[in-house]
Amino acid sequence: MAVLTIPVEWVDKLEVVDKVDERPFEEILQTLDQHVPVTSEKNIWTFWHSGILNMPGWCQRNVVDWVRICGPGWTVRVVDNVPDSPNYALKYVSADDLPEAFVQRKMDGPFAGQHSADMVRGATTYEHGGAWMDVGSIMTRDMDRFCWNELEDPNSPYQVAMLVAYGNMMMNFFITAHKLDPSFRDGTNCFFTCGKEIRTTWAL
Amino acid sequence: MDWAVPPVTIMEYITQSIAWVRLTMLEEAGDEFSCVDYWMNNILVLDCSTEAWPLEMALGFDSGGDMQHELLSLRLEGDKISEMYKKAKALVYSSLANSSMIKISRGGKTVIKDRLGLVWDKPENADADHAEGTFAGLLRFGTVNFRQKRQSVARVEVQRPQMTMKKGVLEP
Repeated sequence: MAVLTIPVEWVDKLEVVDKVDERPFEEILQTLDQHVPVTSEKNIWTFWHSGILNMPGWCQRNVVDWVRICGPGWTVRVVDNVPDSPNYALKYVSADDLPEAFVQRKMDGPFAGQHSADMVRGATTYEHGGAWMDVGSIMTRDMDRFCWNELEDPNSPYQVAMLVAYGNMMMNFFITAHKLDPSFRDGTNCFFTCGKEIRTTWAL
Repeated sequence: MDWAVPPVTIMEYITQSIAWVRLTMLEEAGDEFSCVDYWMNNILVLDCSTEAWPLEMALGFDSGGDMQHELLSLRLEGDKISEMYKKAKALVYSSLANSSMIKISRGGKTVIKDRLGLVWDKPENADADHAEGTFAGLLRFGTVNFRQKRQSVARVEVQRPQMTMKKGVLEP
């Protein structure tokens, strides 16, 4: 797309980014189809049952843009349920952390994909930390400025960030959390373990 | 929202969210840990409507994916004084400036009108989300090339749940 300028009525709200990741879409997509060991909490997790290359194009573009928007400090990981895939879920989390139905690839029903994502969501963020977003999310603000800077602030009490609506209803297409931290064992551990137990129960 | 399935199916669809709501109500979930206190003190709660649902907040939850697709497919060099053009332009720049993401849902076929995700899944719309010269293309360009000046995002002041329980996590 040709360079577009910000309309005058929006210049007090938006500014042009100085340096943009200019790598082609295909190049970034290929990097996301490789296994990258986890070395930091700054992971953006998501799930597509058959792998990133089988996602609809608009979802691939969402995820590739996450890479561009969040920058090299973050690692985007599209986890799947294909055993020989470089990003197979069980290459990141233990089978003990996922329900048997998922591990044995016997999930069925009208919401099998969504509920598979539910299960991977809790396991990956608990084990490694980072953010979860559904593949259908178009980011408009980088993760650090959205909420991670607040979670990283040593003076902040927050260990988890989430979106809510309708009172206390968690919208689970997004969540950000530190991985299990000994200093917060009684808090984070319990909260996420609760979620894990419930997830396990669903699949029995 | 015009639902296409009975309430119990909706409950099944959002089971994880419902489970989390219950967690926020548990005063004693084991090891003397209070989920209520943790929810109120240690979780940064952000406003979904502002931060992730700009399309729905601007157009309404019943606007449907076809209408959103029609707006985002308008040409940038189109009729700039038409109401549709003005609406599309405001929608895109407001989303870029005032939200952190745009959650594009498929809706799990739980609603009568197709959500935008299902519309974009159709083969004939394979490139609609990034077509050059359209508002959708502008949106894609803006997410990568424009940066928000706002210094903070919309938070929700957490309220103590009206009803709390001293029950285990899986206790009926």
